[in-house]
Amino acid sequence: MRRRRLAPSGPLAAPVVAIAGAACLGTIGDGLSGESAGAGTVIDRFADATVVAECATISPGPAPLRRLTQSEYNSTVRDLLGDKTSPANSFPPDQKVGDFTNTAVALTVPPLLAQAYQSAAEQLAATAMQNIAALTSCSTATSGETACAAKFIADFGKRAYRRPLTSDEQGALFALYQANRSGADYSNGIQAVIEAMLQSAPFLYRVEFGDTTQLAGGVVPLLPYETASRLSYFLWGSMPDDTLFAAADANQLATSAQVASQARRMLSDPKAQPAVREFYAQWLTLDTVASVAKDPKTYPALTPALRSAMHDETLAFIDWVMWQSDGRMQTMLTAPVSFLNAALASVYGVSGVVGSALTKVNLDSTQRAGLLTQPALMTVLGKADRSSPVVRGKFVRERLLCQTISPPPSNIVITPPQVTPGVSTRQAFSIHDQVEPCKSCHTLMDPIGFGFENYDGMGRWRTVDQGQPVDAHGTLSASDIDGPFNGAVDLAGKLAQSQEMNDCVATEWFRYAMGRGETPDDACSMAALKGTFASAGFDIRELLIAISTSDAFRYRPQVNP
Amino acid sequence: MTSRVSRRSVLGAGASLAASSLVPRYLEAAVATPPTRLVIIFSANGTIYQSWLPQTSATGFTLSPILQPLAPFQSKLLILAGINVKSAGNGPGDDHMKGMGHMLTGTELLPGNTQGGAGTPAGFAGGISIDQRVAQDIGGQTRFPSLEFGVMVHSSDVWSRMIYSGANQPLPPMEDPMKAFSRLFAGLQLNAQQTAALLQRRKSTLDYAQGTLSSLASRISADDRIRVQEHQDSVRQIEAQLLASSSACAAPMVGALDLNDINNYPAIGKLQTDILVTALACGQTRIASLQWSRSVSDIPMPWLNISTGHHTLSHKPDSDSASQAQLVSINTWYAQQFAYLLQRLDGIKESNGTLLDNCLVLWINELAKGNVHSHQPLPVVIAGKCSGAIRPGRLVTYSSPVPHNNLLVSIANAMGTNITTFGNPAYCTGSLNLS
Repeated sequence: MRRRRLAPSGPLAAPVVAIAGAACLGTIGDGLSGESAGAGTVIDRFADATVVAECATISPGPAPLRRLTQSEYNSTVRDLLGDKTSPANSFPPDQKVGDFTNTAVALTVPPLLAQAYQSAAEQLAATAMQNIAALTSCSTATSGETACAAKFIADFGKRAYRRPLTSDEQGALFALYQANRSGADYSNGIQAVIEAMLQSAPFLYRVEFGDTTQLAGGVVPLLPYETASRLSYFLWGSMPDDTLFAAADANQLATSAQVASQARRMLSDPKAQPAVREFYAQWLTLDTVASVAKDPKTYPALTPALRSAMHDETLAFIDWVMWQSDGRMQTMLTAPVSFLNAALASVYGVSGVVGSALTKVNLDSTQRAGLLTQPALMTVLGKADRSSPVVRGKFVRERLLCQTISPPPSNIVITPPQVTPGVSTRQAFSIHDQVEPCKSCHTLMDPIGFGFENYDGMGRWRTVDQGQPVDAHGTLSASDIDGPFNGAVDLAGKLAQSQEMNDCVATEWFRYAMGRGETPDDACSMAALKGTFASAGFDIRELLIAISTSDAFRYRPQVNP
Repeated sequence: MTSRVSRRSVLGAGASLAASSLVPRYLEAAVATPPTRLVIIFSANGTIYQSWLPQTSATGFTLSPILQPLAPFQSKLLILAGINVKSAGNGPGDDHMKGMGHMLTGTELLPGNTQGGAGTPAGFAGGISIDQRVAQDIGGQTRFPSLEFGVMVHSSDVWSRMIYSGANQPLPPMEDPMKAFSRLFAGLQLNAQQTAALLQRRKSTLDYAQGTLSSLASRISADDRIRVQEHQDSVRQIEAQLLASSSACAAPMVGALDLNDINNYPAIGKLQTDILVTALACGQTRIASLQWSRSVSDIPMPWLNISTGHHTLSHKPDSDSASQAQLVSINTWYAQQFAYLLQRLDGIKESNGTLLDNCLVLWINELAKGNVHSHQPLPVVIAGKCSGAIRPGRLVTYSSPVPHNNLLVSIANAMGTNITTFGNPAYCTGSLNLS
């Protein structure tokens, strides 16, 4: 493993890319170079060894201002107000860039969202007022309304803004309270304060300035409350809890060991489960299972209930790997188990499963291996009326190996084959292997995708396709696991052994954690966390700890207004 | 002031109307001289041009197979043949992304690898879209500067966004008719005193929120500030809506539909059309758009017995006559939905004609021909007279391709926005004579 520690994709990727399909292949993530991976361009910012030669200087990479995502908003109001209504589900969707919907620069606030914030704030505040005692211990009867309002602003404000309020902020909020109290009553004033805070910048954004007293080389360590929020939003997708606030109060989030200790505590908390799910749901595009267009005549069995069950199955499997099993990528990719209800069992052709609840089932290990052969993924990575070797191969390249495939050249007639009785999907797509300009790029996708041909467009095992026997032999190229394989189970086993795949998982988690692509400035952070991941046998939980303690996570560039 | 507009049967699908309703005060003047309105309709993946292009005839033009559903409104159509999205030859992105992002902005996408990386910047469109440019001038006259509707868009990436308030600032469409409806028409069931109290509280909370945004904007980097300033603009827009929020239009009901069930695609589109027309009719906005699915839409159309996804079909070669026939069916179906929109608009009388007569309705596509991903000749249908700025009932064929930026300039001009260039000026050579 050490050979690649300081050059995550350099020494290996650069010569490999030159072998096949050089015009088509790139490395995902353009960082700050501002160029796109067009045809003929291979982006590999770590190829230059000088970039990563020195890791003595702390170099955290950029830290764009981050707005709460939909799921972060939901979890935050759950923890702040005890409100479990998930109001952000009716917000307009977060803009998707790359693989994730939490990319900071894409999270703008158009008017539709600002109005949704207002509606949600009004509803949340109204609900909160029904049990205001849960939010404040102050008794107006004994302490007086003025004192209680001031105490509420300070106490609730600290949790809403995830840091203590300045006296100016407290003053502005008290004025707001008074303005809305007059002519009405105490609770109206408090309700307005809650509404206002839920629409304000310090609540909706994760504002960071860093500790400017420790400025060195344009870099500042995060302030304790800022570190607390980074940890809580990364590992819980929500605001800090009392323990994190207490650690920040006591300035006990300053060292790597202190941060690691909190991160381990947080990973063992049930709140880590939905946050980790969110990453996988986006990485695997599970959010589209419900809506991906399918022809009802081709797939009459694919009901909304079944789609939902497929989605839940994959998340249940991820939960099991992460929290019950060993947390390793190898298990994620190869374990022949899943979580089925009666409807899913019929997709798998498994008998003896009844009811709608998911239960753990051992599967035929010659047919199924981990995530990749699950119906949710096979459904998402399919066409409306058939499986798709192209989409499936592209998925493996892009999401598991972090490579990009250039789009087809402009102005050529592209003719994906149509479903034809008697012609298997593989036969239909084999045209790609034969003709240019298809061949050079499809060589990178289809031979991987053919390995999934035992699964139809909704993930059912098949040995016959359009009357033809299924041939699931495939070939991997331009990777560190080049060579032939037979079927997706074999492919999954090979991928599980791939350093490139594991590095890619680390990279994807890093992007998700940071809300941005990696940049040359992140080289040392990336190298360190990939090394830690490898040392831990590719236990994803250890990867998350490594990200939490990386320079990129604990520091930021100085803010220059 | 009568509530003539809102008493009309503005919503289909079994909608019922409230016995009485208020028409916004700002509409009183508007009804005296009905304002112009801009409506933009999008459908994806290009067309089959020879089945789309009308034939010239002695008396004007004969509608093509795809446009045949528009026959009842032929005298109100202006068909443009020969528009070229010239900008699409430039800048980052694949042809669908460029088509979608350039279509209404006339400029390149921002750099950035949207296929995979999370680079900076994001790779959305590099400029404002024409409807939003018009909204800068007239949006303040109505409760909503503009309204964006979508039908099963189901995604939030560059292929799925066509309306932009600025570079990297896509405006998401409302995809749920129920939510769109409640945003627009949910009348406040409050008395005057309660309404006043609510407005007072909203004003104070928004003022406070705005103050926190201003404070933040002054302390952060220039890159971050752009996003916070957009947020500030959005809050300002909501503040402006406050005054109008007590004067809702009619209060019909919209039933719930499964937004993921492809069989509901036609019904959702129809409901969204109904809501859009009502919003225009009762003066909630002068600018609206409706986006069917998205660029690269791969939906099947089981109601047409088409099981292959649209995008997949759109790649079929010209020689595949069966697929070409299905693509004609798909585009004809979209023409039927467009005809329904025109029928609704034309069914609403205004003092100088119909609502349609006061509209400029643009039906546009991100591509010309799907299987080659070309951007010319773009299939462009305009309907309505825009109160005289448009002279319809014509097929205009340009002998040499005209950059679509010129069309965007002319649309803005028709709506009263006096610009002489739009988008990247490198692709704009003037305007078109639409009158």
